[in-house]
Order: sequence, then C-alpha cells, then structure tokens
Amino acid sequence: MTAWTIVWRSLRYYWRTHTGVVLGTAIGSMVLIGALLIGDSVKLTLKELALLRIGKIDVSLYSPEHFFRDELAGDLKRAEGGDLTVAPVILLRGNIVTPDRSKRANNVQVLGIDSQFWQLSSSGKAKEDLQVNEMYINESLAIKLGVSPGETLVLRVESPGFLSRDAPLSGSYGDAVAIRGVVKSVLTDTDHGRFGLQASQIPSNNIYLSLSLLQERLDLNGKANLLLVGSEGSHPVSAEQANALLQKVWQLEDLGLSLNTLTPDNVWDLRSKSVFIDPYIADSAKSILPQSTGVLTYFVNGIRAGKRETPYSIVTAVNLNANGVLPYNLQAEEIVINQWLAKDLKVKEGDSVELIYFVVGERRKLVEHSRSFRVVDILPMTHPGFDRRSVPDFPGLTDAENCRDWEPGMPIILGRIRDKDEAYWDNYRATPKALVSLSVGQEMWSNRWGDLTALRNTDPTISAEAFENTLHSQLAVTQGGLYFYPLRGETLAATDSPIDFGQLFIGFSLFLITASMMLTGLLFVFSVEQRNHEAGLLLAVGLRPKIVGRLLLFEGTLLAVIGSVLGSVLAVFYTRIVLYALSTIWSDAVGMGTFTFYALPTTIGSGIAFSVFMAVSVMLFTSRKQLRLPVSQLLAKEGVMESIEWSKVKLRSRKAIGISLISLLIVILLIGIGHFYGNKNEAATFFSAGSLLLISGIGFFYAWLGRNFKKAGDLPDLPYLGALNVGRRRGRSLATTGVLACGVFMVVAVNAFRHSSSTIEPNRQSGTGGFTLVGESTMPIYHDLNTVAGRRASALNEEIMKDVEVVPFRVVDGDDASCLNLNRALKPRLLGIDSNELYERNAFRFSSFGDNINSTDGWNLLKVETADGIIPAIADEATVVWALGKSVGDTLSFKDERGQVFEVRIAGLVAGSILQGNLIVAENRLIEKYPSLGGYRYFLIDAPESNAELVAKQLTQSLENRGLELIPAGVRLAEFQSVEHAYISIFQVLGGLGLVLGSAGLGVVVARNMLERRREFALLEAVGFRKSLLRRLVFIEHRWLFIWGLAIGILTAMVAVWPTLQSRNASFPLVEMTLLIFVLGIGCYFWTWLAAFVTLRGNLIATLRSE
Amino acid sequence: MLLELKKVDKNYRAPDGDERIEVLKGINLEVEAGEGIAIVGPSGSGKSTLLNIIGGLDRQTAGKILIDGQDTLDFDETELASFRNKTVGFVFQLHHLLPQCSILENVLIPSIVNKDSSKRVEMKQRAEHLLETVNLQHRLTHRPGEISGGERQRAAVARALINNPKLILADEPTGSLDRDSSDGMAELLTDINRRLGVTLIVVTHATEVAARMQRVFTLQGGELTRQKKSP
Repeated sequence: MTAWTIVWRSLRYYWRTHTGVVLGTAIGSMVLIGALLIGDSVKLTLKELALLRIGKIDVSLYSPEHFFRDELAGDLKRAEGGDLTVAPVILLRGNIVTPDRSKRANNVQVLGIDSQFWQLSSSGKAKEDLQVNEMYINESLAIKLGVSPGETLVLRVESPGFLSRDAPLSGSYGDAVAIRGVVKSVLTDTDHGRFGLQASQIPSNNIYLSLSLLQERLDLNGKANLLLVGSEGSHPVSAEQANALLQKVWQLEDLGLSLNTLTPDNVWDLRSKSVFIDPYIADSAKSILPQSTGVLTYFVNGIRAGKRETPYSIVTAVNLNANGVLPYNLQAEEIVINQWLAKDLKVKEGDSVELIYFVVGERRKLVEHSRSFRVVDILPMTHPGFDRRSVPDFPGLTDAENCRDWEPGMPIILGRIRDKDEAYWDNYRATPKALVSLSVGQEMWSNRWGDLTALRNTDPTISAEAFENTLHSQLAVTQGGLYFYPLRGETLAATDSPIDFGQLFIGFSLFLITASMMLTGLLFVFSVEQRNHEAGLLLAVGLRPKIVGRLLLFEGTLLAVIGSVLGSVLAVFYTRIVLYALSTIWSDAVGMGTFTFYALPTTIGSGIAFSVFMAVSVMLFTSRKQLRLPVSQLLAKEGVMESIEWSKVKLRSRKAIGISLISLLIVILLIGIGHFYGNKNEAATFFSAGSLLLISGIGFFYAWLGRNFKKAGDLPDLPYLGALNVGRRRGRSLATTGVLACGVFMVVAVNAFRHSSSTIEPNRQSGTGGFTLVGESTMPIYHDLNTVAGRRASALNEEIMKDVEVVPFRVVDGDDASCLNLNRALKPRLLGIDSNELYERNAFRFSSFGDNINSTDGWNLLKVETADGIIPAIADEATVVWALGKSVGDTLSFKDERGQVFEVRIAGLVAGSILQGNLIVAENRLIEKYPSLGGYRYFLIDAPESNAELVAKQLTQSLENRGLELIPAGVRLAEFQSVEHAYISIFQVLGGLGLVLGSAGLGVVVARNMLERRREFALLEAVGFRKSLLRRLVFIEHRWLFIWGLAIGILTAMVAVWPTLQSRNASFPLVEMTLLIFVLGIGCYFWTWLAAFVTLRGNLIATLRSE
Repeated sequence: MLLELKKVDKNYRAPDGDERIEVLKGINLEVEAGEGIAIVGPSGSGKSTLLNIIGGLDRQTAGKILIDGQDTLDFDETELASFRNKTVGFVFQLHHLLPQCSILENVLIPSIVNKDSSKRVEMKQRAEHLLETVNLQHRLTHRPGEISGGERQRAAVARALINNPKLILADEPTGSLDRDSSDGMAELLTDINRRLGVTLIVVTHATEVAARMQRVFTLQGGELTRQKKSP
C-alpha cells in the first residue's frame, strides 16, 4: 500500500465526480489551446499566403515612374555569374471591362511579363508564352468579373510619361491605351496568381500580358519598371548584394539620361528623358564637369513687344560666355533674340520685350507670369546659340509635325498660332527664339523636378565616354532612384501581424475559460468536501497535512492532465470550427477566404501545460480552506457546520450599502456632467456608468443577503425560508450571482461599442468627416474638378456639380494599413492633402495629439515644420494602433523617390474614420519627396445628401476611363466598422458560451448547498415535507441567485448600451441578446432543478440515523 | 505511566459574541500502560474533545498532556503526525474507511507513512493477521460498501492496530452498531486491551462497554470524575 495506491483507487472510485472536473478542465483547455491554435493558423496562413504572393523572389526594384532598360535584368544576371533569376516586368494600374461593358474592375494590377517571371513563382512551372491577343488573369479577378478562359476583356492603362504629369511640358495627359485580349487561363496561387508587392492577405486583381506587347502598346520598347530577383542557389540574395550588382551594370539610360552632341561638334550635353535633370544627378555631373554650364529651356506662352506678340516659343536660359556662344554674359534684364523674332516683333537692340509663361502653382494650377527684358543683341538664325539640338525633347511638342499637333501638357489656344508660326516650325522646329541668363531662367522656371534641362560640357578635353565612365563610378545609382528592396525579408516581417489572433481569442474567450475553470474548481472542491472524512482519517492516522495536501494535489493534477489532454484533442475540432466561422460568418473581421489549419506540437504542449497549471491553481485556490480545517471537524459526523457572526454580517452589509451608494452617486455625477457639458463620447460614459451600477447592484445584493437574517422571528413560509437560506452561504451566493451579473453585463454591454448609425451621419465631427462620397481612381485625375474648366475637361455636368466640392489627395502607394489587412503594414500608403481643405471644414474628430501640441491646430499640424525635418502625419486611430502597432509621437521610415530615407511622425489621431488605412501628410511635403507624383487618386467629396447618388453617377461615368470608383462615405465607414462589429460578435458568442457554462456553476453550488444540508432536508422530510415540496424549496431558495444575477446584469448593461438603443437605426442585436438571456435563464433553471433532483433523491431520513 | 493529563482546559469562543465556552476545566488524569478506561457523560460534555486532544487531533487551551513523559505541546506538526501514526490508534464512531480501497488496503493506510519499503511485506502480513484477529480474513479484498456495519468497525479497529500503537483511542466505537455488533466490538476491544496489552481509552454512552473497562470516568460540566465501580 502506497500513497500512489490511494490516488489510483480514488481516481477510479470517484470517476463520476472526477468526470465533471475533467470536463471542466477539458473545456478550459480546449478553448485556451484552440485560441493558441487559431493564432498559429492565422499567423502561418498569412505566412503561407505571403510566400505564395512573392514566390521565389528575394528582392525587387520598383520604380513606378521611371522606366529603365529591360536588358538590365540580363546584365544583372551576367554580372552575378548566372545563379540569379531576374525578371523584367512592367507593373501598372489599369481598368478592365468586358466588351459589353457589363462588368468592370478598377485598380487592377497590370503585369507585363516574360518567361523569367514564371521561374520565380512558387511552383516555378513555366507557362506558355502569351500571344499578342492573349492574357492571363488571376482567380481574384476571374471571380470579380465572372469570366473564364476564352472570354475577351478590354484593359485600359495610362501611357506612362517620363515626366510628372504635374509638370508643365509633360505632354498630354489622360492618354489611356486600350488593349483587347482573350483570357488564356486563370492562374492559381502557386503560379504567381497572388503576385503583388504590397503586404496584404487579400490578393489584388491581376492581369498578365506579354512584356513585349505592353512595351509596344505603351511606347516603352525595351523598358521595364520592375525587376524581380530570385536566387537559384540556396542562399537568398540580399538587397545590398543586388544593389552592389546594380551599381556595376547600370547605364545612363536606366536613369533616363543621355549624352548629345551639339554644334560645334566637340560640344556635348547631358540631358534627361524627364526633361528636367534631377538635382542630385546634376550636382554629380557638375562635380565631374567643373567647366560645364547649365541650360534651362522652357516653352513660353508668348513674347510680347508693345502690342505685337509671338505666341508659343522656346526660350533658353544659359550662361552665354561660359558656353562660348558669346563673349559676354547677359545681365538679369537682358535678352538676346534671333532675327526671326526681331522681325516678327519689329524690335531692335535696346527695345523691351516681355516673356509670358506658365508656372505650376498649388494643386497643379498653371499660373501665368511675365517678365520684361531689354534686347541686347539680335543674332542670325545660324548662330550656335540658337541650336535646336540643344532643346530637350518636350513630350507632345518637339516630336509634333506641326504646331496644331502640339500637346505640351498646358493649354494651347490654337487660334493664336499664325501661319508664320507654322512656317517657323516647319523651318526651324523648336529652335529657341530668345536667350536669357541662366540665373534669371532658373528664377522663373525652376520647379520641384529640377532647374536644368541640360548640362553642357565646354571642356574639349573631356569626351562623352570619359564623362560617362566617371559618372558611372561616382554616382550611386540607388540615389538616382533605382534601388532594390528586400521583398522577402519585409514580406515575412509583415506577416508578424500586429493583431495576435492567439491573444485576441484568449481575450475573447477569457470569460469562457474563467467559467470552465470556475466549474472545475467548484466541482473539485465539491469532491474534496465530500471526502473531508478521508482527509481527516489520513491526518488522524499520522499523515502530515502537507502529505495529505500533496495526495490531493497529485490526484487533482492527474485530473487536470487528463482534462487538458482531452481538451487538446477537442481543441483541434474547436479551432477548425472557429476558422470556418472566420472564413464565413465572421469574415468581416479578417477579410479573407479560408485559413489553413496548423497544429504545432509546441503550441499544443505549452497549451496543455498552461491548462494543467490553471486547473491545478484553481483546485488549490478553491480547496485551500478545506485543507486548513482541523481534523476533528473533518471527521465530524455532522460535517462542517456553518457559523454566523451577526456583528460581522451587519458590518459587511453596511459596507456593501456604502459602496453601492458611492457608486450610484458617481453614476449620477457622470451622466449629469456629460449632459450639462455636452458629452462627446456618450458610449464610453454610459459604459462606465453601467460598470459602476454593476458594482452598486452587486453591493445591494450582498446587503440583501445579510438583511434577511434579521427577519428570523417572522412566521416562516417557503419563499421566506428560501430567502433566509440563500443568505446562509453569502460568499458562495455572492460569487454565483456576481459571476452571472458580470457575464451578462459584459456580453450585453459590449454592444455599447458598436457604432450606431448616428456616427455615420454626415456631420463634420463624425467618422465621415461630413463628406458624402469617398473614392479612388485607378489612374490619376489631373483636372481640378472644383473649377469650371476642370469639370468641362472631364465632361462633367455643371448643373449637377454646382454645389459639389472635391477634396483631392495625392497617393503614394503602400501597404493597406486598415483593419482589413491582417499583415503588419510596414510601409503604409501615404496621402498628401492641402491641410486647409480639412482644417477649414473642421472635418473629423481628433482623438489624440502628440505632446506639446495645441489641439486646436487640428489639420494644421500637417504644416508644422520641425528642426529635425520629420514630416508630421495624421492618421486614423485604428490604423495607428492596430495596423501599425504604433502610437502618437512614433515615427515611421520611408524611402523617397531617390532612395533617401525620410521619417514621418504621427502627430495626431482621428477617431473611427473613413481615412483608415492611410497616413496623411501635407501635399507639399509629399511631392518634395516624390516629385514624380502627378495628379490625384483619392477623393473626398462634399455633395448635398439629396444629390449624392446623382453626383456619384456623374463622376464615375465621366471619369470611367480613369477608373474612378465612388461610394457613400457612410458605407465606407460601415465597412471599416463591420470589422469591429465582427470582433464584438465573436466576443459575444464566446462570452455567451461562457455564460451558459457559468450557469452550470450555479448547479454545482446548489448541489453543494444541498449535500451540506442533507440532514436538514431529511428533517424537513421527517416532519412532513414531500420531496416535490423540498425541490420547490431548493428552487425558491436558489432562484434568487440567478434572478438577482440576471437582473443586475441586464439592467446595468441596458444603461451601458443606452446610446446605442436610442439611435434611430440601432444596431443593437435585441433578438440575439433576448435569446441569450432566455437560454441563460433556462440554463439556470435546469441546473438548479438537476442539482435539487440529484441531491434530494434516495432515502433522506436515513441520513438522520447514520452516515 | 503512559499518559498523564495535568490541569487540561479547553475553551471555545462562541460564534456570536465574545462569550467563551469552557468545555474542559482543569482535567487531571493518569493512565498506566495496558490499562483500559472508559469516559462516559452526557452529549456535548466534551468527551470527544478530550479524546481528540489526547490523540493530538486538537490542542488544549491550557494544561499539559504527557505521553511517556513527553509533553505533546512540544511536538511540531511532523512530530505530532508521527505521534498519531506510531503511538496512537484511533477508532471512530464512524469507521471512516476509504470507500475506494479494499479492506486490506484500508488497514494498511497508516503504514503509508512508513517509507521503509522493505517492511511492506511484513506490514501486509501483519494487516492480514490483524484482520484475522478481528475475524475478517474472508473480507480482505472487499470494499467497505460490500460489508456490514459491524465488520467495517472491526476493520477500523484492525487499522488502528496496524502500527502497533501504545494507546487506542476509541470514540463511541459502538455508537453506530446494532446490539449484537456492539457486543462483539466491546469484546474485541477488551480482548485487544488485555491480550495485546494496549492501553485503551473508550468514550462511550454504552454502560455495558464502560463496564468492561478497569476504570470509568464521568465527564460533566467540564470536569472529570472517577466513578466507583459497582460490585
């Protein structure tokens, strides 16, 4: 006989009681391990999807606006030695429609690919080459459009320009190229069907065309804007390695640069395909060519002399002396003109002429300026100063056959062009008509893209080849805007979701776990109490209390292990069910399809260990008093008699009433102050008030339990007897009622955080910012839709648009940082706005600001310039807290267009808004960092509510080719809120299950009470009470526990959800909540009845005679 | 002298108020080794309390209890447990047999404390012998629920003897037995006392049980007085 024998025998003998303990532990373990497995499954599914998204790609080079040679791919491969797979790709955004225009997909990712691309997919399987009229699409797009292989689609993409469309002389804008093709097949995820650069579990809609086709149709022969690199060896390529290779093989053409020979032939210059030379490149070139001179050539609207005017002319700003063109330099007010112009304007040396020209103002506005000059020289047309080869290629201008074909990207009034102008163009093309000094030219025409259109070399000893070699070695190509990004590393880093679903579900299931543990504890202590005499005997025969405690603990631990292992098996099913629910009814919370189930042994192992720990701790806690009882009491034939100290009962009751009254007072003050001062966060106030009322209610209940003892002299009847009895075990009664009340309160009151429709009404402080519509376009919109001209150019009906105001945002694409993206948004999308637009409207409600920031600044915070140069940003609170895992004052790093790192600091947060998913910065700061940005792609629209639908229709139809998609701002907000609502639903379902389980605890309490008082009931039976009457007594007695519990919980929760209930279209799920309370009530009744039935069966009277 | 009680007091605080209830008042008692004594008295007079204090299940408020000259108040928890295990054997009114264990295992329960595994066989043989002594040799593998009340109580006596104690403390050992079983139990205890020389203190209401003891004491009003034995 050993201690183990006793444990083993006890396990077998008390299996019925132990089954309850095991089941309680199993449920807790199931929910806990399930939550952890959900966390693993979500995390690993995200990783799986992320790896499918990037396939075998290690690093990527994406230069959205600057196209480089597609041969760069081959050069890199050769430079590395052949172990790399390098795919040149053209990546653009476009719109797709079916030929009958019945189905449409905006913001589609357009990929021009070659065979290398497939080698980098997860499967690595080669795909058939695409013919001219063929295209692949991915599953996501196929589902969206409802198309299958063999069907025809029409794709529209914007023909990319080399110069920002914002720039004057950037050529015509709005050129959308239509490409018609037949769907060859639908790509699966393993064949790059999920390909995308942005970290998101939601696949983008992709269409794949042959690279050569896209190059040809977009006039981008031999060009690409994306390089994807994967290693064929086992070692992935790092961004540093790829950048080092790139530095070896890049050519001037990759940065859009060229060297051009001028007249005289030993002079050459450096130019950029982007017209304006990037200042960084210009500086590098100047350091190699110290004797060079800059040239700035510009297209002016006119050159005027008195009443005469020569329209649309090219003027060059240059240092003539340094350039060797003339033996002198021009002063600020001096101009040299050619003979043609002199003749046209009838001017001579010393006369005054005026240059009229456009410059780009705020929000792409072209502002006309003018400046007067004195003619100091008139030179012949053959003078080297008027070399037309020195004029850069202005898109839509220098390549035009005649003036009427000009499309320079600024308004041209064709009526102003005279025949003699056409003749000039025929004879001299873009030959400048006038020369001014470089400094004056730069003063007039420099912009964010640069202040030179050419850098002219005048040192005959430096050849173009020598210069190219030196520039190649001195210029860091990464700073020219071409740099590799560690796609694989960042992709994997992004799968470290800021929302840990494991923790989230543990949080959601906390009440369920608590309820199961409470049940475990109650059942265990119940079992221990029943076996008090056993402990007493063991102590009496000489076992030390510690040993007896250990025996009990060992037995409990074994039960906990069995329960936890069983729970781990059940957890597999539980997890699958929850994952299924997350893919279906709760899909709003995660915004994705199916999850792959993962069960990591380490997770299950640690889950079991923690469950055992929890269960054993609960057992120890609940049975702690039992083990401290004196042996004589443990062995007492009457069992443990309760003792009541009247003075203590009175004192505690008074304390409880005191706490209740204080809580009530705070509630009244809270609501009163809120009402008086105009409460901005009504939901939070009422939730707090509800919580305090809950405390107050529980306090009153406790006092009520004590109060009943004073009535001891009353004539007893059943209800009185019941009420009297329920006060006997006040701690136990309080625990049961408290748990029920808290559970009901939590489950019902969480609804206070559902956003009611009142918050999406179009007032400025709501989540919509008072805007009626919100939308995005696939291709930038360049026209100002608030002006008559802009509306006319966009074919908008002025009548419909008369009261409409459009607030446009610049967009720098990045990761979606909304709650819909489960990945960590490492590089969130940046939106640029003129802060006045929102400041003047006082749009959106700020929830917090950084330290030392004046909260009245609001959107003007974006204008703040700090000494450290960090750009201030404002973002939606949910974006910052949940998607970025940051807070106010934190900074994020970005790389600008030139590959330079810059910092953005979160200066303020707006509460629950449609701006979710983005970081908003000042427009001027954004275009400083991304000068190539052109046009606007994100819009908030102020339109009369009554007209909103018509306005949306008008805008989307007129700007269909730009892929503009608008939805009511309230609908967008509701989409974001549906994520929160889905989480609330999950919490309520799991909390509800916890409550139902918790109600079983009531049954255990009833059973414990009954068994302790078995002799008392035997006596009642002996004096004539029938069994049915005794059961009624038990029910009457214990009904108070759940009546009080439910009543306190429901009433206080109603206070908490009052604002939600009051809103017009309340989203309070009244039916579900009523059903829950009903089920809970039935559950309580059932458990009480069951406990009474089980404990009162058999011959009670016999207990009066013997044990 | 095996047992000596010197001015033993036991008080309890009333649950409602400051009033103290004096259960035992200055109890003095001397018991020689091998002696058998009975303590009788009305219900609630403190008989069981006195027995529990002697057996180390409860502590006195004042006074001394010396067993083999050793003051039980000097025992720490471990020594007290060892004292209960080795020196004392308890027989309760309710047998307190573990329902999950067989009769033989129940008898062996006090032997669990003995960590010397070499003695296991010896202890088992002793348990079988004791069960034979109490005439339960045919019930070794039965569970308590499968035997009669009298048999359960006899098994409890065997359990009390397993560690060869110097003192048996029996608290209403016949209290829950019918007359026949009660006589058998009284006979068994007397026999053990006489044949094995184990000191026996019996708390009982049953005069016929008390009559079998060498000395009989009455506990009333917290005071212990010796009864004169009727001729």
